[in-house]
Amino acid sequence: MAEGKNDVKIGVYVCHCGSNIAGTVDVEELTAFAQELGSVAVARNYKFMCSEPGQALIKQDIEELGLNRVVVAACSPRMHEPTFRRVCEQGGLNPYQLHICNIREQCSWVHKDGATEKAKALVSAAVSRAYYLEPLESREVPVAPAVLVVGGGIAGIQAALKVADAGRKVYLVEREPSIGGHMTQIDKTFPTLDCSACILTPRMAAVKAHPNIELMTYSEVVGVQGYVGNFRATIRRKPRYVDESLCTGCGICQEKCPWKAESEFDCGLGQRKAIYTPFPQAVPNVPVIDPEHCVYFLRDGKCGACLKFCERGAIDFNQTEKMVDVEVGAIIVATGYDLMDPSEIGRLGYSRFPNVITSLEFERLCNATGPTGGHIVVNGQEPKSVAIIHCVGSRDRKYHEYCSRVCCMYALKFAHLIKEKIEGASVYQFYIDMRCYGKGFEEFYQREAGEGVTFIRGKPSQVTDFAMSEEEQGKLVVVCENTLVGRTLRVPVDMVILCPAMEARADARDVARLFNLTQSADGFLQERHAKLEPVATANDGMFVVGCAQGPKDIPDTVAQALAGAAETLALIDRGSVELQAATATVDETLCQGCGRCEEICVFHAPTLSSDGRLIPVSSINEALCKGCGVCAVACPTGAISIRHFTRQQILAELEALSGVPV
Amino acid sequence: MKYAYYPGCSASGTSKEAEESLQATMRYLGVELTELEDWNCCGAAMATGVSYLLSVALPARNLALAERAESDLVTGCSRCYLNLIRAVHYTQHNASVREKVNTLLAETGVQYSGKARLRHLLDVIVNDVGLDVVAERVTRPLDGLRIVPYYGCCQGMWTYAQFDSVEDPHCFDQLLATLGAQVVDYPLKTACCGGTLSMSKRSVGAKLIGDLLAAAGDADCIVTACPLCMFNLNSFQKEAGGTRGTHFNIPVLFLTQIMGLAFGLPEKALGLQRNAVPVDSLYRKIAVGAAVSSGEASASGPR
Amino acid sequence: MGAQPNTLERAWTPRTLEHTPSSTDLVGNDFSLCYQCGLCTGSCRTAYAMKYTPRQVMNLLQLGRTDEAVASGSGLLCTACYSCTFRCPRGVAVTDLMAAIQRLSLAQRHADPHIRRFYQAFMRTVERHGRFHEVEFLVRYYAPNPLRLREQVSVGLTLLRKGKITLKPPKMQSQKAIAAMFRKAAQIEGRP
Repeated sequence: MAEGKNDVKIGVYVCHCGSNIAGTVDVEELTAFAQELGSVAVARNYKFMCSEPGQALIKQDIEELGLNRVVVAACSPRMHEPTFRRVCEQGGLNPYQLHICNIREQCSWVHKDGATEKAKALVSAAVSRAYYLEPLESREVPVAPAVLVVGGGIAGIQAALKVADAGRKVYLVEREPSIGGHMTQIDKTFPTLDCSACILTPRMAAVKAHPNIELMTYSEVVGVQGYVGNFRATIRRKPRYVDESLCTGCGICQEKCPWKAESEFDCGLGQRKAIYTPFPQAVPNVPVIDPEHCVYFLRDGKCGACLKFCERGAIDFNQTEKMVDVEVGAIIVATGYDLMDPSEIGRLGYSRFPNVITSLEFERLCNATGPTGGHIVVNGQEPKSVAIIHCVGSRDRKYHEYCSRVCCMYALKFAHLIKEKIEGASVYQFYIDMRCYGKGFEEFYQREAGEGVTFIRGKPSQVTDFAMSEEEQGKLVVVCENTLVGRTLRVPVDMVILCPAMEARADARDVARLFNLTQSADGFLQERHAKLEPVATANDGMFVVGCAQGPKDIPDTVAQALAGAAETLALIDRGSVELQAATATVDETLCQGCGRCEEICVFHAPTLSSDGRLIPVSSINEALCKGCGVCAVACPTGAISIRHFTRQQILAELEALSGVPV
Repeated sequence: MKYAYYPGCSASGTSKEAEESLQATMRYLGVELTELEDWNCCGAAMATGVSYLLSVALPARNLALAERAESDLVTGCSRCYLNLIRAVHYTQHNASVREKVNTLLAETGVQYSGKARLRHLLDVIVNDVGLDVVAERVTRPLDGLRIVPYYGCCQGMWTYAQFDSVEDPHCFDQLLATLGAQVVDYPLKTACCGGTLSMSKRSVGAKLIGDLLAAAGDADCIVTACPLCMFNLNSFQKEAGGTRGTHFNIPVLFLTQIMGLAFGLPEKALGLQRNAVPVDSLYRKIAVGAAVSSGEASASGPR
Repeated sequence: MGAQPNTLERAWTPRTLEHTPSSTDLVGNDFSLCYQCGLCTGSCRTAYAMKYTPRQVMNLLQLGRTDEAVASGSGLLCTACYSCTFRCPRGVAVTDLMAAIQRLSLAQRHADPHIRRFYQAFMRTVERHGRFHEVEFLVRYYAPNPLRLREQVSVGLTLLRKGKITLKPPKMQSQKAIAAMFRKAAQIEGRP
């Protein structure tokens, strides 16, 4: 640029941030100090620089004093960098000639003594850097107008429907043979006691019927490349061994198949055939053949009953997996949760006693499509007394510190169902706290108490079959302290239902890696901001919704799904995405073609190509580049520099901070 | 297999039979135990009542001695084991405690650096010797003998040691099964016997012991992994019966005693005559009596 | 080949308590984490005999009512089986807190005198000999109330008959050093 040394005019603006900064830093002294620094044309301070009048100050100075650099000494750039960049633009200055100096989070908030001195050093460094800032242009890239939704549970379904209704193309990928997720296994939902399948299956059918949704079940995403607005996902379509286009869902193959396996849908309590749809209302209503239990595969072509009986000739044992690539602008990850296996908590007897079951297993017993046709029966007997134990593995430092949110409510739901189905049954709730926070939840709690459910406040220490009295013979005994009375209590029951913790999926780590997401400490996929950005992630263009982000009930899951849809639609409707200007750039005259940058970059931004030259040189795909600077450090000749963070700029800062010429 | 051995205070007195049988069976299995020189009392359950520092330093001194002897330390007393591993753990995780403990240890001319490796007898038998070796050395399988495996409560020990499940351990069950016994599925296998409450607060101690004995049902005997548990379950059967209006007469053995029986070692070598509740009924059941009194089997080391 | 357990519980590190100079100070403040679930008491085999259960003791500590907890005598019934500590979902070192209560109880005159003397007699023999001495312990324990020896008659006679009582005191080299340890501990902890 054609600026002479004396043409640089820097405006320094010190924010009081109320008393956040001014309470610890002497802003007047700081301003006076800044005024004396080289190339500083004006230094001011104001109560709230981010406010309208504060912004107006800057704009006015740019216009009237001809400022060509702005330094704002205030809070973290993560708060208001966009704000002040806009101010610069409005004033006619390139937004990259702004430098935010953090004297709040990094100064006034962490020091009592010496804050002013430190602020002076920081501002001095900021001014030194600002001197070398150059105008940069950001680019826009178009956004592919399609969305990939990974996971076909209620979250994925709702998100897909909303995006599709807005007229956008959706690819919905689901690992299981049918969409629906865990909600298909649930009998009734709290607090309204709606039948889960009744509210879910119309949505599932809508997904199937929607012209904008391309449904890929029995499929998994195996690779993702690209960047926000331009993702390419590779999807592996596992072979069903049934031709979807020919199958009518008549079900005769399942009827005739002689080979059985444990039904995953029924949590192992029931059986399915080797060729199966997981449940009657499956979408698509096309079975899959499980090669691990199908005799045709196990014994080299034997059986083949399904092949014989299918009138449409839809059985195709020669199917192979197919890889499909899709191009989308945004991805919604809605991969759901797993329920913790309570076998690990041996004292509750889950692996010892068949009549100690998990909540999901109980849902299957209650449900009409379940292994017992909706009759609550264990060991051939209807239980007359049932204990429901809360917080199994939740709120427990040894397993999961968090609360799983839904268990108190579904435990109440179970109480109702038991009372309804079994005449005169006793239900005991073993709880620590009753968490009924949502709409209609506390009312539901009252209703259940009114139905004669016994609430015992005490975390059970044991479920045992060792009887210590006549009435305990042949029963399971739940041992706890009745904390409200302060005495040990032994309650004999016929059945125990455990409320295990909701956990992140077993492969959450792999999913995180695949989509370049992070996991929170609890194992779930992490949102970008706990309060203000609940579905966005650190990876632009990727969103996490539903239980994949953390335990929650159906209303909250749907809310997040719709939020995810809104986010992706906002992205697509904008039509283009602004790429940040602070990207790496290669000085080709210095590049030796060593390839170290290509090796070290995790975003695959640099590529080497010869293009007719003697030696290959690196070039950076600015859309992929995040400006992290690793390639610049790795480059042995210094050919790579990062725009907006040039060597000159950084060294100037360091020199000013240390007082030592670098 | 060589170890430094920590006998604990009950070994020479109230649980002499535990000690005797331990020495005999370990010799038989080829495990070399060298008594830790100049060992001191671990503090049992009493040190914590008097001084926190002593409750860590007393066992720590033994660990320091084992370090000096450059040997792994084995103990056959669960209470001692709990105290020792507690000392390992507490000095490991708390620098201030470690420092103060070493200040105390300095009075005795040793220091504890955290290197000593502590083993429980069961761990050594099941994991170092190995159950297949134990099976080989059995000469009188305990066919049909219904045995209750009573691990005892010192669950803290497994918490830190991780060689078996804390809530539902089965190394002892497996050992007894290897000896040919029919192992009873005992619901109170890790429930506390009351420790020294049998002496200091008889009413509570007797009740706890009574529960344990009652839960054994009609088993032929109870075998314990701790000498103090053995002492409790043996010595207070009358009082325990009193709390329940019933009468108990069930033999209680230490784990190495039952092992010795299965190995065919002589009664005297196993201290079986010292068990408070006579163990004769067992002999009848496994017809060991004859072979044992004729001194058939040898107790003097591996073949 | 060794035996492998079916499940190994997750490695569990309860927060160890910072030792404070005085043994009569309550050690640490882990009790503040307690959310009163009662799992400790549900696991405790002697809770039935306690005036205040372990959970209630934690609550008293939280409220600063340590004296009540100490006076209740609950600490004296704890056998240190560690079941509570192992299972506590908040990581409260219940056993160690009960031990602290125990120490405070035993330091006070109004504690159950039998239990008090039991602990003191035991530790006195260890202090003198470096190892527990059964006979001396019995003498110290029963001396104030010799008639109580009756309760030990059957046990004692059985032990004698079976050759399990050693009259001779145990001998170890560092007896004096052990005694020095005891004195030093008392000094650091500010005990008389």
